[in-house]
Order: sequence, then structure tokens, then C-alpha cells
Amino acid sequence: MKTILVADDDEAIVEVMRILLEDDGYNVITTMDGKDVKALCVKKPDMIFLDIWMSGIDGKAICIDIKKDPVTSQIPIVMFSANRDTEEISLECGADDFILKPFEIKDLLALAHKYAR
Amino acid sequence: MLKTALKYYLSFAKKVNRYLWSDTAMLTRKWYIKYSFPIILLAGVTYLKLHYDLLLGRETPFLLYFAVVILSTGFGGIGPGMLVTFASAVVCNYYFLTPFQSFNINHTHSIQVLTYMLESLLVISLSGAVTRANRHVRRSGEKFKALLENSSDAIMVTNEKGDVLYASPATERVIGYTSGEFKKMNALANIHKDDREMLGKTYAFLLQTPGRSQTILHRYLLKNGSWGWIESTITNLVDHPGIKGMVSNFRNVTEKILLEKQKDDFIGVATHELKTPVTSIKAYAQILSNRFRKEGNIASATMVEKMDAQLNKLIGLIGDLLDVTKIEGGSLQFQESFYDFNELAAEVIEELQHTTTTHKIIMKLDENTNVFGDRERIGQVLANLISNAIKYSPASKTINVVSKLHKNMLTLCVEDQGLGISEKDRYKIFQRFYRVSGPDSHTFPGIGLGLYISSEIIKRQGGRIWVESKEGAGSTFCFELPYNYKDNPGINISETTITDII
Repeated sequence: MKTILVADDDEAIVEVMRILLEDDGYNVITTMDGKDVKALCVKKPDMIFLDIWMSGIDGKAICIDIKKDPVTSQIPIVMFSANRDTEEISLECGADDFILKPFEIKDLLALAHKYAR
Repeated sequence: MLKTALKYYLSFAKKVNRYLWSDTAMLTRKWYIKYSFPIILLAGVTYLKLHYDLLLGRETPFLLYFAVVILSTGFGGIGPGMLVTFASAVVCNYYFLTPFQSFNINHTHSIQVLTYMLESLLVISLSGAVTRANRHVRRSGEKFKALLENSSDAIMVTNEKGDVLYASPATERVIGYTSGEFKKMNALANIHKDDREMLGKTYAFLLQTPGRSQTILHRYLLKNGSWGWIESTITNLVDHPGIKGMVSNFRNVTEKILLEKQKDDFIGVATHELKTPVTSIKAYAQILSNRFRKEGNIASATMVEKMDAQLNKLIGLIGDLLDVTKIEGGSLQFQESFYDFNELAAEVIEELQHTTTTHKIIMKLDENTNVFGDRERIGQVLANLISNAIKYSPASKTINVVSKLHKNMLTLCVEDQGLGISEKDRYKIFQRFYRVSGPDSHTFPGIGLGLYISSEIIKRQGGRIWVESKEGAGSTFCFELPYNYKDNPGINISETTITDII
């Protein structure tokens, strides 16, 4: 079973992402604290959905951190945010893809399928 | 010895000069002082002439009286000058010309007196001219100084190397340093290091062409230790004979910059905060729909799908309101690149075709072209025009989307066979919050922002937007965009034009 890490500081979004991805047959790890994302990489997720605007540390910095560490750099990262500059930030931090909130679940599942399989 | 004497003489002459021909001193003197001074002077000279006749020269009776006229004019102006001219002519005639102490005017004497008076008048008028000229210079100087010193902008003149030659008193108000302190310190050292290169480049650029001017924004370390945003308009007046330097008008715009930033931050936070709950609601609705469908509960699935469709409308409205806020605040930003216009049109049309079962959207596009601009924003305009066409043509079945290339412009039109727009509405349709009423005053849903946003986007992308329509026979909304509007400054940001074909 493939594992997906979801990092978002909004509880409802974390919850709905879990239901959505578990329904589709993934193992889901979640966190609402940006500082935990890097640590959770030891569980070897197959991909990460990473919110850009999080309390504590912002998603862009987390993304750069993961991508520059050779141990974790192979993990695909999909940035997701409600801001229009999501695409720009994704390119800058070396993320693999991005999706804008609010999203259609079929688009989100397509991304999960693309990167976690 | 001689040098000291000369020095004293010069300083005395200066004092006399300041005392006599000073415009301000003359204005403040009382009239009776102005008139009594020449009389006393005249009496004194006459006394001297009568008692030291030989010493002062009998042969040139008028000589000392000329000095009296000149001094009186310098002291009191034209009036006392005239008075003393007449008085001295009479005195001269009485004491020195005619047989002693009598008025006996013969031919020779009257010519002498007349000449004296004419010469005096000439001296008076010259003196008056000098006074007027002085007054003019003083007044324009004062006016200039008052303007300079009371201007809310600080004004600074530097030489080509950047040394401060002049700084107006407003400098203190703008950056905290008095003009004296500012001139003495190394003014450039307080410029933020990230802005120095830009400033240096601007200076170098301006120095190339005399008369050229540019406004720049940079950070500056103020006297109170904080950083301020300074907006400077720098003009090259090196060739100007009166200035011979670079002139900067600068003002502190920190508050304005901070307010703008606060507003932008607020819009950012508002976007995020409004969209976050909608994101989870929307995802839940879609999960529910999937589950109901799996269970075979089609009725429930349809209900939550309707919920989802309503959420999409809500998301659109949130987007519209934020866009309007950005347009009003001037912070609507564009992410520009080359994109395939036809691919974008096909994408938008496909997406909107899914939302309607009543209309068929027919695409008639000209050859493929790469357009420079914000792909997403132009897509937003196209989607707005097509969804309007669907909304306002409930009885018809087709919407045509036609594009045409002409010279350097791309024109795209969305045609419907709907209600059309009356002439009176056609002019207001691109205005904010304007909504079109249908037949029987039926009002269509919406908050009337779509076309306003579309027209602002097209304008800011260097194009124009317009509508052609006949009431009851449909409307055609068109926009025109330059392929690469950055290369066409001449057509940049034109006013919205509305063309009629009726």
C-alpha cells in the first residue's frame, strides 16, 4: 500500500484529505505542524501534499529543505494552496507539481495516482 | 595703512548703500522723516555754501545740490527727490545766481536753472528705476525662497559626483536631518545597500541627458534610526546656468507603502481564509457524491452534486470580489508569458461545455498563435463572456466563439442569439455592479462584477473590449489583444470602446 503524507494547518482539510485518499486505497499520514514534515519523512511516504501557507514554518521552506537533503529529495512533492502564486512558488522550491484550492477531487486523485504509483 | 583705510571706506560705502537704496528700509520709514531729511540736508548745504564759499567753489553753484537730490531720492524715494529739486533750484537762484539774495531771472540764469532741474529729474527717475529693479529681484527671490522652504517635498541639489550643494529646510521634515547636517554628512551612506546600485544606475542614466527626469523609490536610514521609504524625483539640470547640478525632490512615503502592503497582505489573508473552509466543504460534497453513487443512491448523489455546483458559484464570487478589491487598489498582478491562445480557448470552452446541456459552444478559431500575457486572466475573461452568453440566451441553442488575426492584433468574439442589450444599457455594461434586467424587469442572478473585471483585465493587458448588439437578436462581445503588447506601447491601456452597429 502506498503512503501519502499530507501537511496542512487546517484541521478540516487534513481530515477530508485523509478520507479522500484512504477511500482511494492509500495509507495516509497527516500533520498540521509544518516543523514535523521533515521528521515524518523517515516513514518513507511515496509522496507529499504540502500546504504553502502554514503556521510556524512556510511550505516553501519545508519543500526546499526536503529537496536539498539527498535522503528525502526523491519524494515527490505536490504543493497545494489557495493563493494564485502557488505555481511560482512550486517552481522556485523545486516541487514536482501543484494544485489550487478549492480543488476537484478527481484532479487531486489524479495527482496522487501519478506520483504515488 | 592704505589697505585698512580702503577697507573701512568700502564697508562704509556698503552701509550707506544698504541704508539709502534699500527697498525695505524705504518702505518702513515714516513720511515726515522721508520729507524732513532732504530739507535738513538742503539747509545744511546752503549754510556751508554761504559760509565756506571759496572752499566749496563759487563757480559751480549746483554741484553740491546734485548730491542733495541723489541722497534724498535714495533715502525717501521720488517724492522727496522732486521736492528737494524745486527747493534747491529756488535756493540757488536766490543766493548764488542772481545778484546776491534776490529773484531776478534773466535769460542765462533761467537756462541754468532749467538744465539743473532736468538733470535732477533724470537722476530721480534713474534712482526710481534702480529701486524698482531691486524690489522686483527681492520679491521674486523671496517668493522662490518661500516656495522652496515651505514645499512639503525636500529639495536637494547635488553635483555630478553626488556631493550635496544645497538642501532645503524641508529635509528635516522628510528625513530628520537638518539641511546643515545633511550637507556635512555623507548623504549617500544612509541609502539602503540594496537600493544603491539602482540609484547609481538611475544617476548615470540621467547624467547622459540634460533635462531628463526620473522618479525612484528607495529606502533611507532616517535620523531617528528607522528605515523610511523615500520617493525621489531626480532631474538633470547640469546645463541650467542657475543650478548646474542634479536636483532631487524627495518625500517620505513610508506610511503609504506600509498601508499598501497591509492592504495586499489583507487581500492575501482574506483569499486564504475564505477559500480554506470552502475547500473542505467542496471535498466532502464530492466524497459524499461518490459514496452515494457507489451505494446506488442516485437521488442523494444528485443533491450533493448540486451542492457542489453551488459551491463553484460561491468560489467564483469570492474570486470576483477579491479581483475587484485588487483592481480598485491597483494591485491586480499579471503573471505573463507566451502561451498558445487556441489551446487556452479550447480548454475554457471544453470546461464550460460541461456546465450546460442546453447550449452548444461552437469554436471557429483562426490559425494558432502565441500570445504574450497572463494566460489564466485571459482565460477568466473568455469564461466570463461565454458564461454570460449562456446565461442571457435562455431560448437559443448555440454560442459561437470566433477568433481572427489582423495585423498585430488578435480579436476574439463570443456571439449569442439571446436577449441582446438595449442601447441605454450598452454603455453601462462594463461598469462595476451594473446588472442587466431581462423582459418584465426580471433580473438575472449575479452581482454584476464579471464584465467590469473582464474589461479591466483586457485594458491592463493592452487591449480593448466592446459589445455589438441588437435588442432581441443577440449580442456579440469582443476583445482585441496585441500578440505581444509589450512591443506595442502605442496601444497600451486604451480606454474601453463601445462600438455600435445599429
